Amino acid sequence: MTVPTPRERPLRQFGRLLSGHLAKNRTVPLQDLATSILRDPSGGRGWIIPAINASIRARVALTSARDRSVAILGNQPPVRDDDVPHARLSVLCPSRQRPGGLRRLLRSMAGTATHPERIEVLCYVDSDDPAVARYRKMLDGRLVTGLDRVVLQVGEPIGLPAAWNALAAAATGDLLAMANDDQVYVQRGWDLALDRRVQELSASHADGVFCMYFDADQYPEGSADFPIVTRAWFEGLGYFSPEMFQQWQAERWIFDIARRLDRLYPIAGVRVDHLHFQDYTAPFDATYQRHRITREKSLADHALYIRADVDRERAAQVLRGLIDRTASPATVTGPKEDTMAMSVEDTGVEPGDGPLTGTRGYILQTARRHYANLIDAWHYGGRPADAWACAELAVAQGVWEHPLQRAREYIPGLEARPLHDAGTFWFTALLEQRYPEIRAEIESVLNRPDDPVQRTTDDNALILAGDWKQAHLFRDGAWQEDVARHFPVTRAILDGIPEVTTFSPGVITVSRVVPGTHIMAHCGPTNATLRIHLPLIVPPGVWIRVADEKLTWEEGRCLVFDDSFEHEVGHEGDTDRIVLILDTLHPDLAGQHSQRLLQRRLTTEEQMVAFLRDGGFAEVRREGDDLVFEPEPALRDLILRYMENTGVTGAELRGDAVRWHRPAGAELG
Amino acid sequence: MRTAYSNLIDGWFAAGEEQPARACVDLAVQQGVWEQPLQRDRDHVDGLTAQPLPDPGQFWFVHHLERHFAEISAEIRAVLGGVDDPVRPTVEDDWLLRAGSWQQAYLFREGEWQEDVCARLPVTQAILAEIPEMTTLSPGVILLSRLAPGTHIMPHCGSTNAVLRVHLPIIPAEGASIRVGTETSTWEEGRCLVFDDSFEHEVWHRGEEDRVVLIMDVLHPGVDAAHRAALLANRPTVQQRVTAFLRDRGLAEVRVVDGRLQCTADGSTAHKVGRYLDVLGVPGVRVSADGSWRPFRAGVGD
Repeated sequence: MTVPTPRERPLRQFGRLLSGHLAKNRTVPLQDLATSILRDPSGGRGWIIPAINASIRARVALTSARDRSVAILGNQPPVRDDDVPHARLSVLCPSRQRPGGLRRLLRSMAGTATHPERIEVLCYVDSDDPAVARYRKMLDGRLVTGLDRVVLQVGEPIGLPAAWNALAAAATGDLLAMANDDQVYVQRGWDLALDRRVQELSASHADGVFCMYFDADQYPEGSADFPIVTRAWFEGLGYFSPEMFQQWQAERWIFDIARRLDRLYPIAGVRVDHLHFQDYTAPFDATYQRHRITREKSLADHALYIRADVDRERAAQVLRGLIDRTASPATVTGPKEDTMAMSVEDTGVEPGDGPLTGTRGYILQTARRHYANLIDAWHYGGRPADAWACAELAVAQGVWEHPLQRAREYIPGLEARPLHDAGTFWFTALLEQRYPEIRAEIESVLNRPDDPVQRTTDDNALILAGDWKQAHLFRDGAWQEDVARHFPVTRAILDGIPEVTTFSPGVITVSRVVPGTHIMAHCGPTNATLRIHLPLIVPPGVWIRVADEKLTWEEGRCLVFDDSFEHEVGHEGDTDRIVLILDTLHPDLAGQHSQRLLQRRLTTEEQMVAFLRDGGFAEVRREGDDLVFEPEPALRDLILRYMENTGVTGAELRGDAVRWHRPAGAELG
Repeated sequence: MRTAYSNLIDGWFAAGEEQPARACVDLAVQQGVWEQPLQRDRDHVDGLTAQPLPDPGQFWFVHHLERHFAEISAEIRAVLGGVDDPVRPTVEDDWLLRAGSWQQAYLFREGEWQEDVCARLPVTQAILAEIPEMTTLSPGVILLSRLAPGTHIMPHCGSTNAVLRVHLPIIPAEGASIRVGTETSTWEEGRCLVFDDSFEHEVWHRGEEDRVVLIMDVLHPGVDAAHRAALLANRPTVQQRVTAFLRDRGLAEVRVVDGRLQCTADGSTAHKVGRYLDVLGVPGVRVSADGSWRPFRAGVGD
């Protein structure tokens, strides 16, 4: 973020902020300046924000009066009340530190709607909001609005997207509208325009799957804001807002899915004011600053949005399936209730229980990595007592809380249990129900010439004896086509479980352990995820130890464990053991952590760039059957110099031996 | 084991957490990883005399260096601070720096003179070239080391006890001191200091002018012939460097084609990178320093 130089005088800063009244001057550095003053009003700058806010209020009072008169004058002829059925509308409005803004929204809706009695407004307020008492007081029955009901939900600060989902789960309306406390409904009869549009669209779309938005020509081409979706949409998709973003990609996500379905419809001519500091239509205040779109965050979100294209396409396919099924008279089945519940459960840990930040957190993460390597080395060397002594010292030093749970990335405060009850995860029932199909498909692929389940390279260092074969169907947030194409049935089933795909921070792996294998005691890299085993083929003589519990698998019964606890696998039986491994976020994780974890997933592009840059390559290309790499200049010059010094023109690595090319064809070593 | 412990202990020291570092040291000694808590080299040769500060008088080359000190010092002082001063902030030892600034210039490393630096110090190079222990038979480096006032180099241990380190102080600077094991000493202009850097050592500079020292490595005199041969053979040859270049990157072959260097990948690398290209649907890519990439089009040279 750009922070103004301390030498810039307050008057000059005020001048710069004033210039924002002209649209062309409303730049990011200007917002950065306001943020910096709000955060640190010292140095005689305390008067600036109140002054600029006064100027904004004055301007808004003038311009919105003008705009509203235009809007009202330009209103279409009133719709005859009894012409249309009145859809029940749920307005989903998270709010923070702005009871006044929320009151303004409620009053404006009630005051301008023809039938306010079919509107329910659901408000989400963070439990740490200093204004929470004022919200309660305002909404505890005394506020007569004419609306059907106003429900206040006070909960953990989970962020806007998760709050929208929490509200959607509690909504009872036929339509769900995204809302913010800085909106103002200004046009009388807007709800009848909405009803009329719904009536039209319902006539042409029997499935009821569509998305709308109020459009008074205020949006640039191709853009929109504040989606309104139908109940069929919400239930079909299973969530209202994606939760993986730090900032404002949620609306864009919903509209993008609607465009893919060709089901995005404006409600023309209806104006809803959106008062926002970016447009100089709302004062600069602390809430805006809290959620401000920083460039870093918005770039990260933008990148994630692009790379999650496949997830939106999947979502569109889910809805398309619903549309198709309605068109043909088949019935709709599936665990939709549970899919919905997922977004709601993702509420979170206690505030302050997040990962340590800053220096101390960094020191501990570093120490965890070093300790983990050290302890692994003792285990690998067959000296568990020494490993244990190190683990105990680490716990005594505050590096971990339990000597048997030693994740390199450790988030304090999450429920720490080696084994979790599989029944608390809705999708284990689905996996177990579909187990026969999954097993049949995977069994049919194993041992074929193109069987992708091959010796592990990733986890080689953990194998004390025997052989461990793996194939990753999913990793880094994406299906691995070369593997997944062998398992279309399994993939289709897993696609219905966002917890292990769209919102998975980890992998989906077929794991095959041969008789005689011993996978040494080790801990997974993070306690932010849980691991699910769907055992497909379990011969006698196999076992897994997780912390103090030694157990075995049961075919078709999910085992859910926290692999950040020390675990160890043995196979003393006669035939291969096959397990489908899936990862899911730890259920205690709040939105912020999960976003961070999900953003860490790498796309193919990022993996490729990382590989090339780590190796110091500037270029790679295909030449015939070969891949040709060109090193970047500094490395190229160094290697060229080495080769000149020894007079060779080339070198070939053949196993451990090197063959040297010399100009005359003579060979060396 | 020693490496894993060293990383952990260095990590605590680097964080300024001395107590946990010492607790780890004690456990390591108790587990038999090292014999004593203050000598913690990663590659430890058993049976060598372990003295933090051996007597410099026992080494002939110490007398040789001190005799030629005036010439060496004059040449180095002339180069320092000049327009082409080769002494630059350290990259590899930067993590040891708790405070201040540490600058280095390598004259010799991995068995080779570093021509760009030596070109500016011909007299010094000629004098050092007469000491085979520090050049042809050296397992280590020769470098100029400059510490700015206010510098603190955290406690750390060198990588092996088979090598001793010789300091020839050019500008000793008042207020600069070094602790080796439990002994603390200071530098004296033109007088060599020899120490075993496998012992924990730590440097402070509480003075007011830069401290400049010429650092040289020699084999520990107790290292036997077989071991010496092994250590010297470990200096990577040019062939080994090229081999390492190929192996580290998963390459099968490197060759010079029309003055350009071309590498081909081995099977697993080709498979991995080939898959990236397939997924992206391009025949090749170029990456820029900023991490951006663009598709490679056949026939477009650089």
